[in-house]
Amino acid sequence: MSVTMAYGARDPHQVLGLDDVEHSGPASKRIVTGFGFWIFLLSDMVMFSCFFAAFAVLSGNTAGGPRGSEIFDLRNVAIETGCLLMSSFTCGMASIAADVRNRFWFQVAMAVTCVLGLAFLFIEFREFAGLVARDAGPSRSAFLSAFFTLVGCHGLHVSAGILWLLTMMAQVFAKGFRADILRRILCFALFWHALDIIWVAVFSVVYLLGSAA
Amino acid sequence: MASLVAGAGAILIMIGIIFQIVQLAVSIRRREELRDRTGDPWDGRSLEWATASPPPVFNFAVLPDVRGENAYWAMKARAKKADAEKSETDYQPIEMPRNSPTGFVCAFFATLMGFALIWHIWWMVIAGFIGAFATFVVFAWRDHDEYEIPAEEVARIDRANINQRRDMVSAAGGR
Repeated sequence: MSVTMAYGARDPHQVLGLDDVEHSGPASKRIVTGFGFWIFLLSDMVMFSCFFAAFAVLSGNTAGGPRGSEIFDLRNVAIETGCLLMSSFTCGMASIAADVRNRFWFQVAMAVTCVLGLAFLFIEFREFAGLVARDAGPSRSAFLSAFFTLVGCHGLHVSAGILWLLTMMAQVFAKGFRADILRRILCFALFWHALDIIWVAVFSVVYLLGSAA
Repeated sequence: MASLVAGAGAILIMIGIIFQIVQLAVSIRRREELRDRTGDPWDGRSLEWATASPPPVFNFAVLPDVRGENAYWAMKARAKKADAEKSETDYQPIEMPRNSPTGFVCAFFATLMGFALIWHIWWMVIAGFIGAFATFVVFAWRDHDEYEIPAEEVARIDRANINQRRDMVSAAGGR
C-alpha cells in the first residue's frame, strides 16, 4: 500500500530511475529496450532456478554411479571460471568502446570476449565428452541428468551468446554505431554478464559443494 | 460420499460449460445490436477502455496523462469538469515498428529443429538451426524498421473515435 501511495504521489516514470529528466513523458527507447530485456533475463533466471532446484534435490541420487567429488576436476573448473570472468571484463570494455564510438577497440574487445567464451566452451565440451566416454553420461543417474541439464543449459546460452556476439561485430563493421545497434549491444552485454552470474552459482553449487560432498 | 462430491462438482462444471455455450450463442445471435464501436461500453476505469475497439495500430493517439490509479476514470472526471472535449488536442506523428514475419518464420524453423532433435534427424536439426539464425540476421540487418503515421492521420482516426463515443453517449441519453 505504501508503495502505491508513493507511486501515485510522484511522477510514475521516476520509478525507472529518470529523476534527472526534467519533463515527464515516455522513457527513451534505450530505457524501454533495456527494461524489456531485463524482464527476459528474469524469466531466464526463473528457468535456471528450476534447474538448480532439480539439481539440489537430485545431487545425491547417483544410482550406484559416480558422485560429484569423483568426476569434478576443480583445476579445469577454475580455468573455465577465469575465462568467463575475464570475458565479462572484456565485454565491459567493449561497452565502453561503444559508448565512446571507438570501432577499433570495440572489435578488439569483442574478439577477445569471443575467444575467451570459446575457450570456456572448449573446456566444458571436453569435460562432457570425457564423462560420456567413461559411462558417466546424462542417462547414468538422476544426479548426472540434473548435472548435464543445468550445466549444459548454461553452455547452450554461452554458445548462443557467441553467435550473437559475432552478429554484433558484423553489424558494427557493416553499419557502425547506429542507435538500434547500440541498443542491441546494451542487451548483449546484459545477457553476457547475466550468464556470468549464473556461472558463479553453477561454480559454487555444482562444483564446489559437489566436490566437498 | 466421495462420489457424491465428485458428482456435484461435475454437475457444476457442466452448468459452467452450458452457460458458456449459451453466452456464445446469444452473443453471436445479437451481435449487431450489441456491437460496441466506442471502446468504452461499461464506462471503464482503466486505460484499456480509453482507446477504440478494435484499437488502432498505435493504441493511443496521444500519450495518456496518468495521475494515479483508475487513470481513465480520473481523465473523464477532469474532462467533465473542464469541458476539455472542446479544447483541441495537439496530435503528433507516431512512430511505429514495421510489420515483419520474422517471429512466425523463426518459430517455424525452431519447431522444425525441435522436432528433428526429438527424433534425432541431425540434418534437419542443422537446417532448422541455420534457417532460424538466418531469419534473425536478416531481421537485424534491416535499415528501415519503422514508419511514421502522420499527425493528420492520427487526428482523423482519433476524432472518428471521439465522435463515435459522443454519438453513443447522446443516443443513450447522455451521461
